[in-house]
Amino acid sequence: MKRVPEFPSSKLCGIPLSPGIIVGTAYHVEPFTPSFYRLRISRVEVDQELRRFEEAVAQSRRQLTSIKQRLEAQIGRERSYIADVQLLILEDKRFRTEIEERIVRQLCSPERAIREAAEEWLSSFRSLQDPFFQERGSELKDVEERLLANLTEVNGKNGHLPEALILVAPEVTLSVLADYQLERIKGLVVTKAGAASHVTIIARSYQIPMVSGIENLTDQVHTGDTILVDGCEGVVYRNPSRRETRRYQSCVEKKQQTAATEDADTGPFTTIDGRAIHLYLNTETESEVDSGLRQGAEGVGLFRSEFMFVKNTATNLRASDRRSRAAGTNALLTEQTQFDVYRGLALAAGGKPVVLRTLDTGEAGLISSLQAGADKTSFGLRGIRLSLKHPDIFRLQLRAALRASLFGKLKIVFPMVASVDEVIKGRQAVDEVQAELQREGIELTHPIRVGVMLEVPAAILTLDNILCHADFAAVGTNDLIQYTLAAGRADDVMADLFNPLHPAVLMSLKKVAETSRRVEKLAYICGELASHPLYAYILIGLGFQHLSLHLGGLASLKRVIRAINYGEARDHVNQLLELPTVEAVNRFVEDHLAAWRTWEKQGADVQASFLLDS
Amino acid sequence: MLRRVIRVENQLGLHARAAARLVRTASRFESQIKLTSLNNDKETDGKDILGVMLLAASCGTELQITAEGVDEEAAIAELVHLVEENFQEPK
Repeated sequence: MKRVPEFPSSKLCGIPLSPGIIVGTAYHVEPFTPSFYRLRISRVEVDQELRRFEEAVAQSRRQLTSIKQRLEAQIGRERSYIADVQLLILEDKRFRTEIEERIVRQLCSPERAIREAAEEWLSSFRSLQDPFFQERGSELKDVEERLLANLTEVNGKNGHLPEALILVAPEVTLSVLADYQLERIKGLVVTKAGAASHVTIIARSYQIPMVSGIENLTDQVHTGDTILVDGCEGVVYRNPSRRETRRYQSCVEKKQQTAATEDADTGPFTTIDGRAIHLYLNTETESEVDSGLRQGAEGVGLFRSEFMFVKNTATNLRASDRRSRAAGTNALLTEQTQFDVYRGLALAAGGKPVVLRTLDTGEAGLISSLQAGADKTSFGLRGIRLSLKHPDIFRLQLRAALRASLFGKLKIVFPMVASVDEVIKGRQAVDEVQAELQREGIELTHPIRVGVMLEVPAAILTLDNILCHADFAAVGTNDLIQYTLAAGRADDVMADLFNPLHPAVLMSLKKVAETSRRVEKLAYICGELASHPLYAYILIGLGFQHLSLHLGGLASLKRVIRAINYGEARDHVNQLLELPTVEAVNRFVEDHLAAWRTWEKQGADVQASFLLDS
Repeated sequence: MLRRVIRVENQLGLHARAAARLVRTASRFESQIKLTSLNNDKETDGKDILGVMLLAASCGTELQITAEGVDEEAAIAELVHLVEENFQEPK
C-alpha cells in the first residue's frame, strides 16, 4: 500500500468467487517442473545418483507429512487424505523399484527415471474407462513433480514471502494451497477454478478474497506487483493508485461499520415514497440463513443445490449412472443426505420460504462443469434438461425436497428452462414423486410450489405459456444477459458487450415484470445484478419488488432502497426503454443516473470524512 | 492362504481415500496381500496404492482378497471389515 506505483494502474475483470477486498503483493505459484536435466549418467555415478534420488524421496516425505498435518489442522481429517494418498504413492514399492532399476540398469538420470516410470503409470490411468478413476492419475502427477522439484532444489516456497501474500496462478490445487500457510494467504487470483471447487470452498471459509476467470494472468500480473483484489466485484487492480486503494479501504471500513450497526433488521424495506421491497438470500449453505434473516431477508430466494453435491462427493454423473445400474438406487448423494440438508434449511428459515434450485450443472462432471463462467457459455445439457435425462438422480432430489417440505416452506425452481415442455415434464416428475410418497404413507400438508428460472431468452419469449404451468419465476440475470447478448463477462474482449443496460436486456426484464403482474404470479430477481446500486435502482424502477442476493450484499442494498424514489425510478426507466442504442443508454446514465453508478464511491467518501472528523 | 470375495458397496468405490485406507490397513500386516477385481480380472499387491487405484473398483465390484503369511487370518478379517463398513464413509 505504501509503495508508489511505478507503472500505470490497470484493471483486470474476472469472476468473483470469494468476497472481500485486499491489497497485497502478487506472488506467482511456480510450477514444480525444472526446465531441463541430464538424461544419462555414467556407471560410476550410479551410487551417487541413487543417493540423490533417496534424498529427494526423503525430502518429499517430510514435505507431504507436514502438509498432511497442516491440512488436518486446517480443514479437518476429512479432506486431508489427499496428502496421505500422495505419501502412499511415494512409498509405492513397484513405482520405487521401477525408478531405481532405470537408474542402475539403464543408467538413466533420476529425473528421467522418475519421469519415465511415472509416465508408464499415467498412461495406465489414462486408459481406464471410468473418468473418475482416470482422474486419480493426477495425484501421481503431483508426486512426480514434487520429486523432480526436490531433485533440482527449485522449491521456492521456503524462501522469504511477503506479508500480504496474494497467490497468482492459472490454477491452484488444494495441495499447492497447503504448501503455503493458509493464514499467510491474503488473496487468490486464478484463471480457472469452479465456484464449487475445493479451493473456492476453502477460500470462502477462510474469508480469503478470490477472483477467477482472468486469462493470460501471469503475463499481466508479476511476482512483486502490488495488486488489489476485490472478491465482491471480481476485479483486480494491478498497481492501484493511492486513490483506488483509499477508496477500497474506506469501503471495507464502512462495510464493517454497517455490519455492526445494521445487523438486526426486518424486511420489507421501503423506498422514500413508500414502495415495499422484499429481500431474500442467495446461498449454498444453511449456515448463512440465520445471519441473512437477521439482516431482514424474508427467506431464501435461491439455494444452489449443486454446491452440496460437489462439496460432498468428488464424482460425476457418468460414474454415478454406472453405479446406479450396478447398485440399484445409489446415485450421487443419497436421498437421506439430501433430505437432512434440505430439512436443515427449512428449519433454519423458520417458516420463511426457501427456494431450492434443482441441480444446475453440466454432464461433463460436476466439478469441472461448475468452473464458473467459462462453461456457462457452452450450450447443451445442463439444468432441468440434465435432470430430465437422468430421472433417477432427479427423483432422489425431488423425494428429498418433498419430504423436507414438511418441515417448512420449501419451494422448487427448475434452472435453465427453455420450453414449456420442460416445465410440464418437471412438474410431472414432482407429481409422480408426490404420489409415490403418498403410497409410502408420507402425506404432504400443502402442495409444493414449483417455479422456473428465467435465464434463456426462449423462456422470456414464451413467458405467458410458461407462467401458465409455473407457480412463480426467478430471473437469473447473469445467464439471461449472457444468453441474450451472446457475450460472457469472463471474457476480457467481451467485457463491454456484457451490458446489463442493453436495450434487449431491459426489454426482456420489462416483459417479465409486466407479464408476471398481469397473470398475478410472483417474479423476482435472483442474479447478483441487484447488488449494484445503479442496477438495483433500475430493477426497482422496472417494477420488481422482490430481490434475492448474497449475504454480503444485503446491508448495502437496504441503504440503496431507502434512498430510492420509486416514482422517479419508474420515470427514468421508462425513458431508458425508449432509447434505441447502447450509446444513448450510456449517455442517459451519465446525465441522469451518475449518482447511482458512483454510489459506492460517494458512500465511501462520506464515510471517510466522517472517520476523519471523529 | 486365505481367500475371500466381497462386494464393494460404498458410493465412490476404491477412490483415493478408500484406496489409501485399504493400503494403510494392508501394510500393517506381514502377510502378502493380493487384491483381484473379479469384474475386470485385474490383480495387484494390496500394499501398493497405484495398483489399488488402477483396479478402478467402483461401487458394485466383486473384490477378491487373498492373504498369505503368519498373520493372514487377522489381515483378511480386518480388510473384509473395512470394505464391509464402507471405509467408514457416510453412505
